[in-house]
Amino acid sequence: MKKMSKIALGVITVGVFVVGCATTNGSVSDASLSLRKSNVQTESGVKLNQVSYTKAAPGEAKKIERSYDNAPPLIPHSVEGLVPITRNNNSCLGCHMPEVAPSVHATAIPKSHFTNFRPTEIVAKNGKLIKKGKVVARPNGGANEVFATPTHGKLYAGRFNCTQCHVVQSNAKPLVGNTFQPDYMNKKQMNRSNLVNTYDQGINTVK
Amino acid sequence: MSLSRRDFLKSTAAASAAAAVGISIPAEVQAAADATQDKWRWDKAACRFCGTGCGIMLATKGEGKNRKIVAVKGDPAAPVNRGLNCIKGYFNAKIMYGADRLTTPLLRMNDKGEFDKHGRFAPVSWKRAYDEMEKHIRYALKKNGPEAVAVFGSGQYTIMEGYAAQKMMKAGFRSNAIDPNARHCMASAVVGFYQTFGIDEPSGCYDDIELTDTIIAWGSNMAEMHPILWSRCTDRKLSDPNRVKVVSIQTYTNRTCDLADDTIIFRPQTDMLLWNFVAREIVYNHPEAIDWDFIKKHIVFTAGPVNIGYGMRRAGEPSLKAGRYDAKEMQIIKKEMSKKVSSLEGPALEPFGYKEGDVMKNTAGTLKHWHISFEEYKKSLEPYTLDYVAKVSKGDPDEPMDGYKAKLKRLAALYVEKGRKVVSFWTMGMNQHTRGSWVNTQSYNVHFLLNKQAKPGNGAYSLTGQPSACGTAREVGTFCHRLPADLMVKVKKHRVIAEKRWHIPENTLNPVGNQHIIKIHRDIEDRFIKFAWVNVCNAYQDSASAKHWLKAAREIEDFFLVTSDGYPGISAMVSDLVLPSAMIYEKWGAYGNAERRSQHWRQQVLPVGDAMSDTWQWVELSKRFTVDDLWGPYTLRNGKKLADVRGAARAMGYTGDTTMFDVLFANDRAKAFKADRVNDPIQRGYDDSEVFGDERNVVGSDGKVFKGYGFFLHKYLWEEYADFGRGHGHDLAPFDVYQRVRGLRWPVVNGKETLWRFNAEYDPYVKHFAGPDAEFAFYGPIAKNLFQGNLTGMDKSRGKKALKNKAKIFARPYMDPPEMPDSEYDTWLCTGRVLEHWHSGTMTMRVPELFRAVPEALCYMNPKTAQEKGLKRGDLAWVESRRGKVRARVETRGRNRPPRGLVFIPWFDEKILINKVCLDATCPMSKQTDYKKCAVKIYKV
Repeated sequence: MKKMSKIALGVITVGVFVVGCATTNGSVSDASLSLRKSNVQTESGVKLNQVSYTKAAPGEAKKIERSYDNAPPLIPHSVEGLVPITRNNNSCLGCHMPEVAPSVHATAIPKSHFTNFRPTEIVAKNGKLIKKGKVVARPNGGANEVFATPTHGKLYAGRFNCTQCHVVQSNAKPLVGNTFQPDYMNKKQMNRSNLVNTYDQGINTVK
Repeated sequence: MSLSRRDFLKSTAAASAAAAVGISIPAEVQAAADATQDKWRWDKAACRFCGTGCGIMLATKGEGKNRKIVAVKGDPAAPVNRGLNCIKGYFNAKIMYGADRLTTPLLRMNDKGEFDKHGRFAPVSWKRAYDEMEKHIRYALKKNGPEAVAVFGSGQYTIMEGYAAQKMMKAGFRSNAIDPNARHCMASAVVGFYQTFGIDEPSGCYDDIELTDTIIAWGSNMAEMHPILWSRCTDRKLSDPNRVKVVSIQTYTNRTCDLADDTIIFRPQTDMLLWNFVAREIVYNHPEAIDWDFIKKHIVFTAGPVNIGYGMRRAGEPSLKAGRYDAKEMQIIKKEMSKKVSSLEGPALEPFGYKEGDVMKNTAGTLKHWHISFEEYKKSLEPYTLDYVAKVSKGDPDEPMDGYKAKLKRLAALYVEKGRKVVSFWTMGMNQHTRGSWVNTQSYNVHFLLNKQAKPGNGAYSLTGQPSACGTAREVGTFCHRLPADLMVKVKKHRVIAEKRWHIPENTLNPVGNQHIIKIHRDIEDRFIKFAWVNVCNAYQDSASAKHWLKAAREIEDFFLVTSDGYPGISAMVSDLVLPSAMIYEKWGAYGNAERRSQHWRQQVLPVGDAMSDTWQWVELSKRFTVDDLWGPYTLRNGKKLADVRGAARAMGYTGDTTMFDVLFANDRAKAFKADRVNDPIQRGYDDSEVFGDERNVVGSDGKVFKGYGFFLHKYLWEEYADFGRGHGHDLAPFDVYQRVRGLRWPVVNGKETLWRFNAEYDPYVKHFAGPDAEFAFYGPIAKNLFQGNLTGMDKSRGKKALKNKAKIFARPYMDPPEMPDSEYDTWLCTGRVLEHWHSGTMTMRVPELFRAVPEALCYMNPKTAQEKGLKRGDLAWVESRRGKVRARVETRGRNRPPRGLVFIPWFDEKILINKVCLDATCPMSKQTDYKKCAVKIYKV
């Protein structure tokens, strides 16, 4: 009986994600599995959707709630004409540097980006690798160091490629849902970052 | 105690800041901060995605099966990424929570509840699933022997999973038909390492980035594929923009070019010309730059045959005889046997005895090579004049020739410049290449000539694609020809080492290991392999010439395909049985990245539904087979015999009924690793579904609730595996050490990691192998005694010459790929990834933020190409090769900006199965597929 109920549970689970495809015995077709939703042997049944990205100009777009506490914010506005970010031209910084951001209603680049967590490295004459920087923690009894050196208002250059973490969103409808539940430390965290204060929380992992 | 929200926030920040500077804070404030954080449990882990190997911190919340991941941050203590992740790294938080996780086994059945190849999927118990697997494995063994049981393995296996899988396959089933998707990703790099250094894995480490003056990306779009390494490169470049130079060498302009001082757009495959051009500049025009002292002490010159084919099917193979390849496909496949030397490659092949118009008869790829003189090497470089190289290699028809030539000269000058440190990075561009093994060795040539290898800030550096292509696929040896720690199945001495460590009879292991991943597909199509299992990969989306494999999976009545996965992907769609796997943070694990760094994590949450880890799935399978079932005599396909070792097994104390579970996994050595959640600080407070079972009470493969193995399985697997390499230059630290540190780079000798191998200042093995005075020793043991010859062949009469502790410079000519654009198929197709998606998209397409960022695979195209073909941005176009076609939307203004005559399409999209279009030609030495070039035509839908 116990086994039966387990299988029955499975039927329900499968049934949920292939609504309309399940038969009475709980079986599902190939095509209903997967995101392709059509026969894999031929291209004739594939449905490609037309999607579009927001046209809202910077400053005119509604901010998108953080995906979770201290998640990197998504880009709510159009980036047409603003990318690529090149060595000589990073348009993002024009509005998002903290000294400018409030005046143009842009999200200010947070303090975490004005901290260098990587030591400067040099090889000494004797071949020894020397790491320079401000050590702020030694988790788990000192095997590794955490460095945090303030950059005094200069964006840490390792964060120059904004689009490696911040991406625009199209109007494409997700093909399947996602049950992830964020847990914000408080409501403000839905729209801001305080990572510079919390980055070292929990780094001692072995008690 | 009461604190307002505002006070409380301040206290959290204060506690953190205070801890950071080591000052004490009032107990009341500390207690308030802890109360909030108590709800979350932070622990360290490795990122699920690329080969960079970033450290992440995962926050979980809840109890038992309600414990879920709630947040992710970059691990500030992780040396690789220092608190920063890329967009995929941050969304590790969501990858396990797609709504269509597989929660129960699914079997194709008819209305009577029987397995039916043509049936629909229906849920079954683990027991029923294992009954079917057992039945079909027994059938395969009986029908065609151990070679008929195959596994599509992975560079995304945890180290323990890969080790368990390979142990059961090779020691249990005596089958070497286990090969990882890393074959598609790293195999050419591996041949490069073996041939050059005699041992696998890079000499340098990521600190090279901070220490170099020059970053040269060879066909690698690091900005999207290794974003955190690129962040480090960007930091280095922008911190000293005048001194630090960046060159991006690509077949199309991409984000990596956006940081570069120079972008060189070359014609696909001609990176080989560029490397030989740089080498020629050194040897002919800047001989003073050669460090002869270094060369004489540490380097020899070598060559090998050039008529090695393209790793395609050879005449006489069953599916060719059966007519399963049509006339159009055969136009290319026939080049495997012979080809006409073209005008492009003619000059390069002249020193090797071929000229334009000659018919080259190909023999199957070989690793054979022999000593040559420096003069012969010099002769091989003679053709690579600036005029020849520029004419053949210029990839953008709209770029003026003079400007292109000037860039090539600047490139060579950067390498040659005295005192300038140079790192050359590459990944798939040079590895997925029908001469991938050659072009890998060409990179070391240039660095060796200049003595700019294996030193801080200097070196040719092969980046890896997958999170554990190094750690699991290569170091554990989950390839058909390998055993752990660089041991080889074909070497008797190596098999004996493995047999002893595994406590199995001598002669159990199968010496024939030739079923690489494309061969597994071909063996299935040839009706030879009868059982295959897809592990932690998506073999039916990721393999070129995909139409053949998709068809074979469904139409061969007595072939049984199993896919284990977290989500139903393309491989699941064409399977007969689908098993629900625990995903990355639902199990204990370890990955090894591209700087030899091994990183461990603990199980953070319970798996969903009835999902169980791949390790568990392998260990459960081992219960179904006994000594008498598997260890009798066999005759292999090539006529070789596998001995009957049942008697020897009895002599070792096993009986005929002893299961592989008892031999390989639940033996006395394993049981000595205690399960202890009370006293062991590593295990305390953490789930371990394999060891203890868990509150889900999953009904296991025997129909009973699974209560756990009762010993610390992961630690046992790690320690047994690690023992293979300890004392042999592959030293790994004890399991517990890795739980406390943010990874260590092997060899770990006396508790210390090794940053630059082969260099006496950093690598203790140099003095061990080459004595106290050695500065360098390229001590890898493979192929260190060679015949002698010249560019056209070897002369056995001159005998062999040893090259202990030396590395090799190879004479390698430019050669065309087997398929190039022509009048009908007039455009190059290059495939790859995008930043936002991982491989086949099975995980990342289920994260809404990543999906919405890049919801479909676009066909990136030059606006002029679009215009020529009557297409405009947003149009749907057919992209068609001799093998198949797909529809994709045209993008002319995207992040990838191809020159006229080339398009780029990523492969993550199940709706755009671009591998139906790609060709399964491989480097004939490494067997790695070339996904970067084939010929297509493009027309409006």
